[in-house]
Amino acid sequence: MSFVERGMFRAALIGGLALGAASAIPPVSCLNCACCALVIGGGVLAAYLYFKDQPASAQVPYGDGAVLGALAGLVGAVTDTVIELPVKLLANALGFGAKNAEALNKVLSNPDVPEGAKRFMAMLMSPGGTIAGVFLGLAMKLVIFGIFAMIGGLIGASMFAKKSAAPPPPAPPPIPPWPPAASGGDSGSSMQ
Amino acid sequence: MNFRRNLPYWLLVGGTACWVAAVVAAPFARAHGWGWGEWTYLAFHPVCHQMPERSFSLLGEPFAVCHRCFGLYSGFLFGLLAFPSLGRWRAFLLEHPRWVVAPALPMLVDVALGSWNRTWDRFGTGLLASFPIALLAWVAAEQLYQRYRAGRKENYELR
Repeated sequence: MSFVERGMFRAALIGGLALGAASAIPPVSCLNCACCALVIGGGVLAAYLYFKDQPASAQVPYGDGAVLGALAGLVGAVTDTVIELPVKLLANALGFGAKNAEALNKVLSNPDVPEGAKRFMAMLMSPGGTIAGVFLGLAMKLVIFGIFAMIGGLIGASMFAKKSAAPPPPAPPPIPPWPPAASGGDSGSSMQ
Repeated sequence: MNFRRNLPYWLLVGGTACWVAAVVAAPFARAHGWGWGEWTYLAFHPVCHQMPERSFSLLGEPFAVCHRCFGLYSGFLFGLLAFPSLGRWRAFLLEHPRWVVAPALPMLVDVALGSWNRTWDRFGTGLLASFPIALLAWVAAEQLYQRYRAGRKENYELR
């Protein structure tokens, strides 16, 4: 039993790298706000790359599409985290970090924000919390990207998998003669 | 529907129901000051802008995702629950799989409208877009489960 066919890894790697890189770069990553378009697009890309070389089958292999999309999502989550780290460091070096801290202070001093939310944000913005936040973010992205890219893989399978014409139905069994011919008194249910 | 024979279907329904419930439970938890509510908001953050003015609210707090995303998730759940009794639609979509993307066109138009769209446009078009995708997920789960069972049977016979 194998859920991962040959050739899936290459397609999933390319789709995952593309979706991860696009999701990590700030202006492009905004597209994910539109129904997770980049992540779903990565799954569709992986499905396209895999199914374009596959022969036609009687049934669309949605299962393969789902596995392919999920793999692309996992690769994408790791890629996104790896690229996002230096991008964040660069943003901090350019002074965007100070703006974040200013925004955080504004939120923390707002009496309308619930206490639980304030504690949570303060924890994430602390030095230890930042590192924990990276790993926490990775864990969440592995799940979320995996699921959404799987949906992309399903859509890709429906669009790009080649479907052959349905095979002809099997010939019906020959109709036995009626009344059945006598066969020496043996009714066929002998118990020996 | 027999539970054991349709295990992948019921697992899919259960998982989706939990997902939709998490979206609705997040504002409830935040309003009561429970910490896990913030984790839920954080979990949905990579896939949604979570703008309060573009989200439904409960107890004065916004849902964990926007109108459109909530429509997408609800449509998926609704599709899963409805497709077992929509035999003709199911057969049509499985015969013409490319048609599953057609219901997403109104949503794309709605996205293009930007600030002109309204709450129920966003929710409704999202609901419509994800409805047929549920069928694909169901078929995929069935195919993978059949493959798993065939593999287990093969291993058992080899032993």
